[in-house]
This record gives sequence, C-alpha cells and structure tokens, in this order.
Amino acid sequence: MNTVSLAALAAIALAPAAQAQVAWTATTAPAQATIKGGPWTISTGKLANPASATGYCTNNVENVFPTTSQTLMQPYYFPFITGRGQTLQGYFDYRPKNVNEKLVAASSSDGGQTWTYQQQALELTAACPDPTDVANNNKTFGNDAGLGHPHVLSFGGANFLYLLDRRPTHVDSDGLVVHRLYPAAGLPLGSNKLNATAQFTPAGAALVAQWNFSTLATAVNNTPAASVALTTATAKSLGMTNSYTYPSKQDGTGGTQTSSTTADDIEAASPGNSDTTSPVQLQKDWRIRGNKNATSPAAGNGWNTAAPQYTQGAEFDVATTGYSNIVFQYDWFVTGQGVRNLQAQYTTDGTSWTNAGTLQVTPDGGGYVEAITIDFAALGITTVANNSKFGVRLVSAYDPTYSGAGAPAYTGASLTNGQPVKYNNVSGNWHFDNVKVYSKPLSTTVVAADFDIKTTGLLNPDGIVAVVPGSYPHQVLYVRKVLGSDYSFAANQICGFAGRSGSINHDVDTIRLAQTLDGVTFTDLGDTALTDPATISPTGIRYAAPNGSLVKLGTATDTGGHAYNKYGLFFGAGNCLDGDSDGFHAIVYAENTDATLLHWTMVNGINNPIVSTAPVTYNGTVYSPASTVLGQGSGTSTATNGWFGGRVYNPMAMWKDSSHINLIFDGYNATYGNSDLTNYRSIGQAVLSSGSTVLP
Amino acid sequence: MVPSARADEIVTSSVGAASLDQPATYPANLTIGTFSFSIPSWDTLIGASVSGYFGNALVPTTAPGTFYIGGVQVAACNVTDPCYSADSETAWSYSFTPDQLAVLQSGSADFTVIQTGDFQIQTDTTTLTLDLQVPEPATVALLATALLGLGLQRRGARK
Repeated sequence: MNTVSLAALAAIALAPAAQAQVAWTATTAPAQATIKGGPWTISTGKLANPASATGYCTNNVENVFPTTSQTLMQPYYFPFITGRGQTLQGYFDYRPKNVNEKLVAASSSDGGQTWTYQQQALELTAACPDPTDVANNNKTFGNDAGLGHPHVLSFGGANFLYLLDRRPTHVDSDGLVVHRLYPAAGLPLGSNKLNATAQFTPAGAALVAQWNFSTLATAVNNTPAASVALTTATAKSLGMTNSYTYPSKQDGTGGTQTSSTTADDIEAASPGNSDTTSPVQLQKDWRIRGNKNATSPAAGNGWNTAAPQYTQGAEFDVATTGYSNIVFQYDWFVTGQGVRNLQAQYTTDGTSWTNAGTLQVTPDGGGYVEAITIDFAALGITTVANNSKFGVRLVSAYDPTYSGAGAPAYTGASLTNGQPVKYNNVSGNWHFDNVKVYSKPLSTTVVAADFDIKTTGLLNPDGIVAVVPGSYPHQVLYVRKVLGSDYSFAANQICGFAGRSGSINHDVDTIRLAQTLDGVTFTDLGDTALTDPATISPTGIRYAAPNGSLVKLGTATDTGGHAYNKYGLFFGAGNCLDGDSDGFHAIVYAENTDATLLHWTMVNGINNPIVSTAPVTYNGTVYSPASTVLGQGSGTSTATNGWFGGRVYNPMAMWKDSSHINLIFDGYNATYGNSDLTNYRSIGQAVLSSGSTVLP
Repeated sequence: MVPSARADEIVTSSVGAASLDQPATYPANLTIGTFSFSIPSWDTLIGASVSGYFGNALVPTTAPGTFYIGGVQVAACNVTDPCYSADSETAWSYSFTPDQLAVLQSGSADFTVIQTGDFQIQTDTTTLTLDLQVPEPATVALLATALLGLGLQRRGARK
C-alpha cells in the first residue's frame, strides 16, 4: 500500500467522531461579492437604466466595459467554487437577461469576498437586446437558451465541466453537456478549448454526407438525394406503406378504412407552413407521411398506433468506408398532432438495429428540435466506422410516460392538461432537415473538448449538486427535474395556489445519487428523499437546486453500529410558496445518517434555514421562517432581504479552517421585473462557524 | 585516534509542477523532471527523503501511476486512492532506505512515472532532501595535512 492510502486511513482513524449535528452560526453577515475585470457589470454605470438597452450595444455590437476596479458582481449567477482556505477558483454563469450568457472564471484570495476575472467562454450569442423588447417577450434571442449550472469534476488528472443544456426540449431531458478542460496558468478554462459555436459542430470534422433538401423540388419524394455525399448515401421513409386501420375522417365520423401508401414530400417554407418559426425552418425540409389508398376527405398520414415500435420514420444509410469517429446529427420537427417520441437506431450490417442516444421528446404542441447529435465515437461505438453497411433510423417510439388506455402506445405532441394522450391515427407527421454524418478527427481521449458529449444514466438531470469527495466510483448527488409531471399526484399534493412567481408549478424535483467511472456514463443509485415532491407545506421542501456543497465532518456511527463518513450538505430548496421549481426559497442544510448517502437528516430546513428569501404573503398570511442562521443581507431591510430577497440558492461551502467555512451563493433582488435587463443577479459571501471540527 | 564529531548538512533539489501530455497507450514510461544536486566528495550521503503532491493548482488529481526517483519507487496513485479523485491536491512523501541511497550519489536523478490509466499525470512541486555527513574541521585539517604530506613525499621522490 502506498503512502497516500496509509495517510488516508490514518486521517479517517484520527478524524473526530461526528455524531452530533453541526449547529452553524454566522461569523459574518452575507455581503455582495465584487469582481475586477471581465465583462461589464451594472455598477460600472455604463447601463444607466436597467430597463433600457441604451448603452448596451453600439452599432449592434455588444459594448465591453471591463471593470478596472472592484464592482458588484452583477449580473453573475450560479457559482461553482473549488479550493481551500482563502484561495478559491470560481466558475460563474455570467447572465444578462436572456442575452450574451457565458461562462466566466475568476479567482479569489480572500475567501470569495472579492474576485479577479480570468477568462470567459461559451458565449452562445453576441446578439444585442432589442431596445423595443428588453423583456424579450418576443424571444428574439431565445430565453434560457444557453448553458448553465456549471460544475467541475476532477479525476485522473483531468477536469471535466458539466453544463445544463437549457434549450427548449433539451432542458431537463438530455444528459448534461460534458467538456474536458485543459487548464493552464491563469486560464482555468484552457486556451481555445471551449467554443460555444463548436459545441454542436465537431471541429475539424469531415462532412461525409448531408441532406438539406434545399435543392430538391417541392414534390412527393420518398427517396431524397443527399446534398453532400462523399460515399454512398441514401434515404427512405419507413412504415408509411402499411395496412393498418385508420379513421376515415379527422372528426372521427365516416367509419374506418385500411392501408396507407407512402407519400413523403419536400416541403418549402411558406407563411402557411407549420415550420416557419425557426431560422432553419425557412428552408426546405423532408416531410414523412402517407396517403390512404382509399378515397377519403381526410389526408392520410401513414402514422398509426398499431405499428410496432421502431417501425415508422426515416432511414439514412451512409457508407462510412474510410472514415472513423462517426457522428450523426439532425433536425427534427413534429407537427402539433405528430407522434411525440423519437428513438434513433443504428445498424452495422444493414439488417439488425440497435438503439443509440436518448429518447427524444418533442416540445409540447410540437416544433423543431435542432442539431440532435449522436456521437458514436464518444459512446464508444466503433463498429460504425469504416463500415459500408452503416445506417441510422429515426423512428417513432412508445411514450414511456403514458400509462393510460392502450399503453404502451404512441402519444401525440400536444398535451392535454399537461399530460400526454394517445396518438390519434388521423393527423400529424414528422419533418427532418440538416441530416449530417460527420467523421471527426481521431482523439485519444474519451471526452474531447469542443464537442457535444452528454452524460447518460442521469435521470432528467438539472445539474450536479455535489461530488462525494474521494469516492470511487465517483459518486455525485444530482437534481432530477421532471417537467410538468405532478398531475398524477393527489389533489392535495399539488400546489393549490400561485406562488411568488405568480403561477402554479408542476415540476417534480428530487435529489438523487449516482456514480460513474468515466464521468460520462452514470448509474443512478436512487432517491435521497431530501425533497418531498408531494408536500404543499410552507415549511416543506418540494424543490431543489443544483450546485450545493458537501462538507466533510469526520466519521460517525449509524444506528446499526457501522462507522461511516459523515457529510454536511448545503443546497437550495423551495416549495409551493415560490411557484417555481428552481429551489431558491432558502439555503438549507442536512447531514447523512449512514454510508449509503441515501438517508439524511434535515438540520436547517425551510423553517430554520441558513438563509432565506423575503417573506411571502399569500391570502393575507405572511410566511417567513422562524429563524435563520445568517439573518439579513448587510444594509438591507428585513422586509426584502435586498439582493437575495427574491431568490437565494446555489451555496458553495468552502473549507476555510477547521471550524469555519466560506459560504458563497447567489441571489435575486426581490423587486426585479421582467423589464429589468440586468439588475437582479448577484453573488454573495458569508462566513459560517461550525462550533466543531470541519475537515479539509 | 579519537573519532571526530559529525555535522550534518542539508541539500535540497526540486522539480516544479508538471502536467504531462496524455499518452496514447498504457502503461507508459514518462519523465516528470530531473533532480540535480551536488554532494561534495568529502561528504557522506547518510539519508534522503522526498515529498510532493499528486495534483496541482490547476488540476487537483492525477492519472494513476507508480512514481520513481532514480529507479526507486517513491509513490503510487491508484484509481481507488484519494489522489485519483480528490477535490484538492494530495500530499505524499517517502524516505530512502540506506541501500537505496546509491541511486543519488551521482548528483542527478530522474523523477519518472509509469502511467497506468487515463488521463494525465499531474504533480505539484516535488522536493528531494539529502542528509549529508560533513567531516569535522579537525578531521578536514588532518586530512589536508595528510594530503600535504603525501604531496611533499612525492615531490621529494622526484628530486
């Protein structure tokens, strides 16, 4: 055994028993952090009126006002911090409202009170806000379309950056985006390694085949030609010619008839087109559907619930002879009545098909999902390289969330009361566009930079809460967020009133445990029960936020007499009072009660949290915690809690010394409005005393 | 003759923080750096120790591997050790046994690693400390006198 292992064992043996719960007390009051350098901050004064875009851009180019002195860290958000003592490394979500979101790295030598800008990356758009639409109600530049919830995990001498893909239909559905970082001195994000525009396009890759349909005639076309083909490339629809039974009319009258004949077509963009809401949809695409054989007033479509799963859709066959590291990418559009779920499959022999990538879900009501990427190389599927029989099918799949009559079954894109309903067999179809097969450069690493790799095995991940220190396999706590999914709960388990956000939220949040060996492929280990998704209590914890912290407390003994490593967990929590599932009502604290990390005791809950947002008034009743550890923000009134009155979460508890932690977190002003371009995101810091030993 | 008293001298040598390129295959023999130091000819090396860190300020962990100085194994990091997945760099140290000191006599020793898995070897500053036995001044004077006498004897012989 090497010296490190001995040292680790010795540390465990000598660590103090940590049976008692930590009673955290405030050493310093929460104060807003400041930063020097980097993109503009509000207090530079360059943006005189946060409700106006005046000064934000000049000649449609974003103004950059690097701060030359320490200014309030606004609009910074979602801190992720590493380090010990007073020397800390920070990764922040720099996030003006709805535009120019990016990742910023900064360092601190005073425990997070002040920061020095180092680097920025992953800016998804340099677009300027519309002066006539500062609130971005028209979603000119998208809303929440960026990457967020940064979390860095290190193992094997490599740092991996995890981000939430917030694009509609991807958020809380896809795995987390994973980038490998190549840090250098003063450049924790590496040099020229992170590029937002490259995220969904493999750098330096060869485009082996592509279908963009733009040069094809707008007519029936069941086998559209590829627009780029370095090898043999063919396409065809699947399952549209069939003998299933269909209703004769869309209104359900007219009895039934059987069979359909494939009638796919190239569809051009037009005002009447259903797919004219996205830039990529302004070009032609390929519509998959059929026509009934018999004369009927209803347009036949070929899609049918009687079709076995994975038999209807489209197939793209591309010989990859001479090419390796294969990546398949496509845009998928579903009409309002189209089938809701798509599964990609691949073949290496032309006959047998295997699922690849995650099950895709269309937006509620249908729409385009762009640049869906299957990186076979990242998935370790090497048999698709240099293979003349390679092909991919994009086929309809049963909806795993549907449990109604006839289940398992296909469901439609449009939900009813937020719930999927069985596909109607009458209308709706799919379109495909920008179908591409890449061969990307060889890489010796499992996870390459500049490329879209997503985790697998994490269930609806919203972000990583914390990594269990020194665990192997690497264990993580993460937030699972299932959007709009509490409708099946009992009536008294659904939030019955609009909370702080003004609406009733139906998401289901849980904090779960998972483990991984390679940082990409995870195995879910179960729910920690740190949240109760069915509670409607104003002191209950229904929602949780990612980016929390585990503090090492030494060893303890469980009720069965077994010794275990004890941790304290800080995380953001929320409930029905918020009307939002982001878990921002208060920063709470819990401790594990055994080695599984699945069982926890809440020490500082919503009613006695570390820190809380401003009181919430509903129906004349004021809801506020009985006590808080940190009290109010410095210089703010108890009525609003100032800069964290509207939201407070994402606590990073950083070891300061054997009895103190630096707590870095973020917050919203209680009084922010939708027309406020910037003035509601802040980073703050406070020091907490444990009264007992905290391990580094 | 009465034995002369001993006086120890400490000599140190360091190899700076390193982040090695990821090799294409494993196991891979890699050089982290070289310790260079001077041992006066009249001194005796009586002990040596080395201390360092797995991981560094940029990356707190390291790829798995076995670490050597002059061919002597001084540390190891396995995937199940904290050094592989810690959230801060991990200290290690090693003391050479008397029969291993010979590898340091030349005044130079390579710091190497056999990497056994993904991804990158990461180390912080590694310091080698040598304990030297230095002869007492009286012993040095006696030695000088003897050398002088030897020289005079040879000079007389040439005459």
